[in-house]
Amino acid sequence: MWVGTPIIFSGLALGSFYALMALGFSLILSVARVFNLAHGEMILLSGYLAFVLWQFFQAPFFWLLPICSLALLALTLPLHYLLRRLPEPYGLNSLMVTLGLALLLQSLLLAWFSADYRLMRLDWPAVAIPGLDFSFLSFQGLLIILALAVTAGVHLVLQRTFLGKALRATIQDREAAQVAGINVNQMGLVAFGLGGLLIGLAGPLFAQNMYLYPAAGTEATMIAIVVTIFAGLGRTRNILLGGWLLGLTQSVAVFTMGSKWRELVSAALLLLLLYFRPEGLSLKKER
Amino acid sequence: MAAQGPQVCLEVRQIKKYFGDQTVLRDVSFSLPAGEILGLIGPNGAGKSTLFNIISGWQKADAGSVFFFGQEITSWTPKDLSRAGLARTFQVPQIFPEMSAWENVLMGAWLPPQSRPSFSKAQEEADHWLSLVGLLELRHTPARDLPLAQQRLVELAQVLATRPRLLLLDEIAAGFSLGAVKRLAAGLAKLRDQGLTLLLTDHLFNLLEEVADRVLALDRGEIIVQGPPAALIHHPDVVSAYLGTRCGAADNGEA
Amino acid sequence: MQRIRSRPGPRARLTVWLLAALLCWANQPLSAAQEIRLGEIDPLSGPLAKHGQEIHQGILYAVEEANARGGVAGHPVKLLSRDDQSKPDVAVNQAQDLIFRGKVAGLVGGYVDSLVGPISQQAARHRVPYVASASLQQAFTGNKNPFFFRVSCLEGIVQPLCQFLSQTLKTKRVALLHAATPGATEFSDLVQADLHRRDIATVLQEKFRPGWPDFSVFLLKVPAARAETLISGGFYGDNLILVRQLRQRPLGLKAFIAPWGVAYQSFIDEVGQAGEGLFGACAWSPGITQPGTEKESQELVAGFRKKFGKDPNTTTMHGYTSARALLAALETVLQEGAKPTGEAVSRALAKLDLNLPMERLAFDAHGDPRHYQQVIVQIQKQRLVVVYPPERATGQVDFSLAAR
Repeated sequence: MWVGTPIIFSGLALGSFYALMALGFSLILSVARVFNLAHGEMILLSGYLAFVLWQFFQAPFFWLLPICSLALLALTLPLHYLLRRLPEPYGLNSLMVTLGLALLLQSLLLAWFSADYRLMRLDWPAVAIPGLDFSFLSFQGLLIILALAVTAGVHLVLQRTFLGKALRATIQDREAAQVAGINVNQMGLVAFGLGGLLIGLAGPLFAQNMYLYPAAGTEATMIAIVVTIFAGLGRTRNILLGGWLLGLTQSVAVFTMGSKWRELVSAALLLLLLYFRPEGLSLKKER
Repeated sequence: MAAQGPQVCLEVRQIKKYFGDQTVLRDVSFSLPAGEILGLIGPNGAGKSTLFNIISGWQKADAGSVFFFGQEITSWTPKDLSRAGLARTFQVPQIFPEMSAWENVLMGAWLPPQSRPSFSKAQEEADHWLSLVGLLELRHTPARDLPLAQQRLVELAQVLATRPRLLLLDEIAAGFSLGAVKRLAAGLAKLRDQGLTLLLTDHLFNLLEEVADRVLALDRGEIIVQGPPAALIHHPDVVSAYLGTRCGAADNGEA
Repeated sequence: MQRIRSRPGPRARLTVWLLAALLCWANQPLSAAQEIRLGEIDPLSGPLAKHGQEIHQGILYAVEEANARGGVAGHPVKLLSRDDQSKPDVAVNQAQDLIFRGKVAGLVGGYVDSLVGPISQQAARHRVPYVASASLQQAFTGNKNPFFFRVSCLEGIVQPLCQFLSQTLKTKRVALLHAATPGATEFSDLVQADLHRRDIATVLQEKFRPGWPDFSVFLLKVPAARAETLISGGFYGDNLILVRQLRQRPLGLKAFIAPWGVAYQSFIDEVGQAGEGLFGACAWSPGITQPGTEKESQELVAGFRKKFGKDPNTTTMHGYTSARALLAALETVLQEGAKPTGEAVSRALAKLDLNLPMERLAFDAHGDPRHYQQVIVQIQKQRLVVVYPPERATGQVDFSLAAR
């Protein structure tokens, strides 16, 4: 077995994880122009919900995904309505509100669950690929498949449905969308709804891939921000590509240079990307 | 006008607009019957754009009122006007650069929920409007890859998809070739015959000559002449307004 | 010329009397039943909250224990707890607040040196004794700060660890993974140097930033380097993930040992079966206590369980021990009838010699604990078994269980 295979697989799984963390954030930012600083804490909330369901109700993992996904709507939809009532300057005010929400959620989680680290102990069997002398964890495989499926799903909605096209129009030119008669506030609501589903989905995956503690939200928010910058606004496929690129780069860097180079290499990659392609990973050049 | 005559689509009454101590529009009044194509002409600085913006809700008048099919719309926002059936195009086309021409037109069909067509119906409408402006073969081209003239036509098709009753076109034919102007005129005439009312502004006469029923000439904030395009094209007041803009500047020592 | 000497007016006389009274009041020894205040600064929120809360509970228990006995020399003890939110600048603010507004007789607490360091500087500047619950770096006790003491030090972890690896495990090649914090980095350097002296090679050594969720790529390199044993200088959360990933992909290692984060019942509960055979280091645990302190240890566990509804662990005990030190020093000073000034309490701390469950507590000239030595434990059947040093062992090493 070529030594590169597990590294690449590891990198893709990690990258898929990154992409799934970032999708909800990117959608809300592109459509509603809200920089949601409470993104990580929301993922965490969903993760804790998954943990509670797993520990006290022995819910199987695959049920946790749709349950937590829908549950987050109860948070993101009211948030949309709250943010809509803010006065100008809208961008700055929504930043403040989401920051406040992040701190609030963190305190609540600390109060409800204490600072102890929580682990969801599930056994994921290894899957062997016949003839390739390589086995991977089924959870890693799940991450990759989910990332592909979700990206494809979001992409299809945006490209092939009437609503999806209206969302894309709002992303590309908010003012022109208003002129064309698109209700951009309603588009924002849709984005918060879809984004909420994606954030909820990320929760159990985060809980399973890492461990839960109340202050972990910051980490998740950072991942979402970095991957969104990589991909450029509103480009769903690029989120996946960007996540994969980041995950692969980090894995290769750790293997060849050592663990301490991970952050430096990621930062260097980000800087290079911003320098050569300010519009993100999109292959089409802006005129 | 007479009760039996055609409905009045748009009535503008004594619109005034000041910018500082400069009077940009002074007591502008006119009425536009339904089903007519009215042109608005005048040199730069005559106040055409300001008047256009006031009617379409993008600027507020300092005095005067505007009526749309009998309803006062003086302080309405562009969003309200669009819902009521008053739409406009812009000198810089407000289109979605990464979407195809066809998708752009489709966006016009995204109406408020009560009047929104089904997706398949909307797609048919998009095809219909695109072929009206002659761009059906380019439907899949991303809008930003089209030349400016065609982008204007895409915007026109998009605006038509919003099912307006009155359409304001802002210098739509600027830079068009003669052939393109004729084709556009034919298309607009067809729309008028189907019941659409149009208000066109232009800097030059080429489109208005072809298709306008009546033209208003604006100079320094007031209407100086109105009549059929043929009558105005050589009207001395209009000519001197245009020439006067250039010479008058030299005479008065302005820049 | 004759000067008319006027007598001081009534207002002036009042002022003089007031000043005199104030001076007398300030200088008098503490009257009975006047409370003694202790200041505590710990990360009660933020990423280190789990550990800060545990230290806090240990300190709180020690204070309540003292008050139940009537306080220190009859004076009730009041604990002022502050949260540094895992941030050094907040730690400094809280220290200043406690010293000036709180007028505390001493400071206690702290987790990780980045928080302990700034507090110790405030202690030195304002001459207030500070007993740190968890501080490792050698530099802290290098410059003689007569007001700084700590109940733990790196040597007490490194020495038993390396002796165990050399004498009991008899390993020859180790891989070392540590967190990129100053304490863990210093740990790594000391371990490498010590192992080198014992002819044990560190074939792979890497540093990672805490919070990283995936060690699988690093773990790929371990068998390639032909390491026999993996030492983790990571913390509780990191070890949760490492252990899980080791279980998912066994590397043929002789042993996995982690001085931080493994020797906790809560860790055992979290990792379950995957934890069997792992080695850790422990200063104290219920059932693992300084010889001669068994009864006290049991009473402590029972009392703690009653108050907090859970068992204390080694982190809790660091908090408890540091508070006990400060309380004992205060008791000594007050019993002599002296005022508990910073200097007096620090002198008393320097002369302390207490046999506590976690260690025989006495400080050297630098403020380091003289007798702090952790024991090496192995998780067997979901319990901690002491396997080194031999004089404290409660069981044998299970080598087959240890293999990863």
